Amino acid sequence: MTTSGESLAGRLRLLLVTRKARQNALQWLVLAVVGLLIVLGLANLMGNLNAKGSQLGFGFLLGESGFDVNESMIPYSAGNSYLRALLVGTLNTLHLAIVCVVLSTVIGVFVGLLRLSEIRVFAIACRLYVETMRNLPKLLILLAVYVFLVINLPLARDAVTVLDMVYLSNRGVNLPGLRLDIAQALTLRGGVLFVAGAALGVGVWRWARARTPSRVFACYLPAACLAVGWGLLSGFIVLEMPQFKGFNFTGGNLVSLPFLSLVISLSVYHGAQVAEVVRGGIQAVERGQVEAGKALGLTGGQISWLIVLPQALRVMIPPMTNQYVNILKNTSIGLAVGYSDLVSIMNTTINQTFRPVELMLVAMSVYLLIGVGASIGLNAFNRRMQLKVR
Amino acid sequence: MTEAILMEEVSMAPPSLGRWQTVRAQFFQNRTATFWTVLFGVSAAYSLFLLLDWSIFSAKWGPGTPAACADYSGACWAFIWEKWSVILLGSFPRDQMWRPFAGVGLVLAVLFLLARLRWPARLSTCLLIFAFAALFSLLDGRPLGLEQVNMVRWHGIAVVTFLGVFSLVAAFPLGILLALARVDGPPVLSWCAAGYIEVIRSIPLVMLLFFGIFVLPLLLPASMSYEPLLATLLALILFHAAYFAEGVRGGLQAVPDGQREAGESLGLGYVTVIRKIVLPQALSVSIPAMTNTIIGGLKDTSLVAIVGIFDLLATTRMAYSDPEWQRFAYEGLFVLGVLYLVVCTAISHHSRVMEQHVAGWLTIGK
Repeated sequence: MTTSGESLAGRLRLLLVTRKARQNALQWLVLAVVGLLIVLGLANLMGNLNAKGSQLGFGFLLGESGFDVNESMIPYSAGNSYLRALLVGTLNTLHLAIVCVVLSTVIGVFVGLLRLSEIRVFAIACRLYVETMRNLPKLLILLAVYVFLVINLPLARDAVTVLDMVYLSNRGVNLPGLRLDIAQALTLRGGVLFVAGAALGVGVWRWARARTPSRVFACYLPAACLAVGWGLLSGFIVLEMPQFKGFNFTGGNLVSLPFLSLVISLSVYHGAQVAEVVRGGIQAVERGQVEAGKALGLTGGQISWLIVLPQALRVMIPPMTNQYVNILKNTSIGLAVGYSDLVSIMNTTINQTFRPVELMLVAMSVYLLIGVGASIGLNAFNRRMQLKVR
Repeated sequence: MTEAILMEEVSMAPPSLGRWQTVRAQFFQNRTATFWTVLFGVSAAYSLFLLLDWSIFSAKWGPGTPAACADYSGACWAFIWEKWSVILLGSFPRDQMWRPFAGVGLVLAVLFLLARLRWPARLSTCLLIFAFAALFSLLDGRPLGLEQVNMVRWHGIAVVTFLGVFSLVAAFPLGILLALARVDGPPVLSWCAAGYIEVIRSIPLVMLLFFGIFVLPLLLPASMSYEPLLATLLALILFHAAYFAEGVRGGLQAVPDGQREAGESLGLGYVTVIRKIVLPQALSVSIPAMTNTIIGGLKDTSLVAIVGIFDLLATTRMAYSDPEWQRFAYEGLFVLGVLYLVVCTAISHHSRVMEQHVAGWLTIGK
C-alpha cells in the first residue's frame, strides 16, 4: 500500500514514461508559454490603448486622409479615404514588383546563359556581376542609383529628349502614353471599324495558333500589337506626347525618379540572383541533351531556346517563385527614396492617426495575400510544367 | 618492355597543356572567342583605368575644403578626411570615441578567433556572450563605471556590430529550435513552427522593423522603459530565426534516418542523439544555406536606416546631407560599398573553408 502522495508522484512519473508522452508534455508547455506571452501582450495593449483613450477598430479607415501621394495609378486626392490611400499604395507596390519581376527575369536569363557560355570572358564578366551584387546591400545600390540620377539629370526645362517623344529630366522620364477614347467606339463608323477589327483579329489569331508551338512569341505578342495598331488606326486609342508647358510636362506617362531608381536597382540586384537560379536550372539538364541537339545540327541559340531552357524551366520554377516573392518584399525599401508604396503610405497613415496595430495588420495581410496568391499561381504553373510520367 | 610501351600508348589521360596553351584553349579557341576576349579585355582595362584615375590619380587626397576639391576631376577624399568620424560614429560623444572602437575591435577579434578555431560549440557560446556583454558595457558605459551614453546616440559601426552580429548570433539557436520543432516536433507544435516561419518569410523585413518601432511598445507594460534599438534587435532576431530555421530544416532532412536509429539503438536519449549525431551533420550540410542567411542578414541590417536608426548607411547619408559636401555622396557610398564587399567576401571565403573542413568527415551526399 502506498500513501496518496507517493501514488500521485508515481502517476506523474508514469505520465512521462514514454517518449510520446514527454513530447506531448513539452508541446503543451511551450504552447502554454507562448499563449501566456500573447495574452499578456494583448492585455498590455488593451491597457495602453485605454490609457490613451483609443480603441481598436477599423472605422477610421473611411475617414478623410488629408495627405497627398506622389504618384498614383488610380484617381486620388487628399479628400479621399485612408482606405483608398492604402489601395493606391498596394497598386504602386504591385506595379513596381511586376516591372522588376519582368526586368530581373530578362537580365537573369541573359546573364545565367552567358555564365555558362563557352566563351570564358562572358562567364568571368557574369561571375563578377553576380558576386558584386551578392556582397552589396540593396539599400546602398538604391541610394547610389538615386544619387547618380539626381546629380546627373538636367532640370525639367533642359530635359534631354529622344525624337521629341521621350524626355529625360530630374523629374523622371516622360514617355508617350496610350489613352482609350471610348466616345469614338460609340459612333457608327467606330462600331463598324470595331467589329471589323475584332473579326480580323480572331481570324489572324486562329491562323497563327494552328501554325506555332510557341504561344507567347508567335501568338499573344503579335495579337496585342495588332489590337493596339488597329485601335490607333481607327482612333479608339490615342497616342499622347508629353509636352513641356509652364513649369511641368503634360500628357503622356511620367516614370518618376524614385520609381526609375527603384526599378534599376532592384532589377539589377535581383537579376544576379535570378541568374544563379537560371544557372542551377541549366546545369541540371543532362549534357547528353545538348550533344543530341548538336548532333541534329541545331545552332547554339536553337539548342538554348528549344532544348535546354524548356527542361531547365522545370527545375527553375520553385526557386524562381521564391525570387519573385523576394522582389515583392524588397519593394518596401522604396520608402528610402520617397516612393509611395504600401509601407510608405502605411507609415504616413500611422503617423497621422496613430493606429499602428490596425494598419500593420492591414499591410501584413496585403503582403501575405499577394505572396500566397503568387505562390499558389506559380505552384499551379509548376504542376502544369512538370514532366508527365506515364 | 613491349608491355610498357603498350601501356603508354593506351593511356587515356589528356595531354597536359602548358599555361599558354590553356589560356589559348579557354580564351582564344576561335575567332568569336578571340573577338570577345579582346573587346572585354580592352573595356575592362579602360574601366579599371577610369576607376583608378577617379579614386587615386585625379583624386584630392588629404584634408581640404569642398572648394579645393573643385580643382580635381577625381574623388574628393577630403570629404572622408573631414567626415570619417561622422560616418563611423554618427553623433557618439567625441571624447568617448575610443569606446565604440574598442568594443567593435573586441567583437571582431572574438569572431576572428572563433573562425580560426572552426567554431567549437562551448567556447563559441561563452565568448560570444562575453563579447556581447563587453560591447554593451563599453557602449553604454555604466557597467564599467564610465559616463553613460544613451542608446539613441549609438550610431555607425556600433549599431552595425550590435545589430548585425548579435541578431544573427541570437537567431541561430532560435532557428535550430524552430527547425527541430517543425521537422521533429509533435503535431501542434510543428504546425505552429511552420506557420511562424512561413508568415515571417512572406512579410518584408521593413514591416517587421516597423512592428518593433510602433506596435511592440504597446505590447509591453506602460511602466517598462522602451528602447527602439532593442526593439529593432528583437525584430531582427525574430526575422533571421525564420530564415535560419529553413536552412537547418534542409540539413535535418538530409540526415538519413539510419543515423538516428543507430544512436537510439546505442541507448542514447533524444537530446543526445540530436546534439551529438543529427545536428553536427545537419548543420554541416546547411553551411551554404546558412551563409546566404548570414550575408543577407548582415546586408539587411542596413534597412534599419529606414526606421530611423543610424547605421553606417544612415550616418553616411548624414555626412553627405551637409549642404557644403552634398556633391560628394559618391565618395562616401564608395567607401561603404568597398567595406561591405570586403566583409561579405571574407564571410563567403570562410564558408568555403568550413565546407572543406566538414567535407573530411561528412558522409551525406557522397
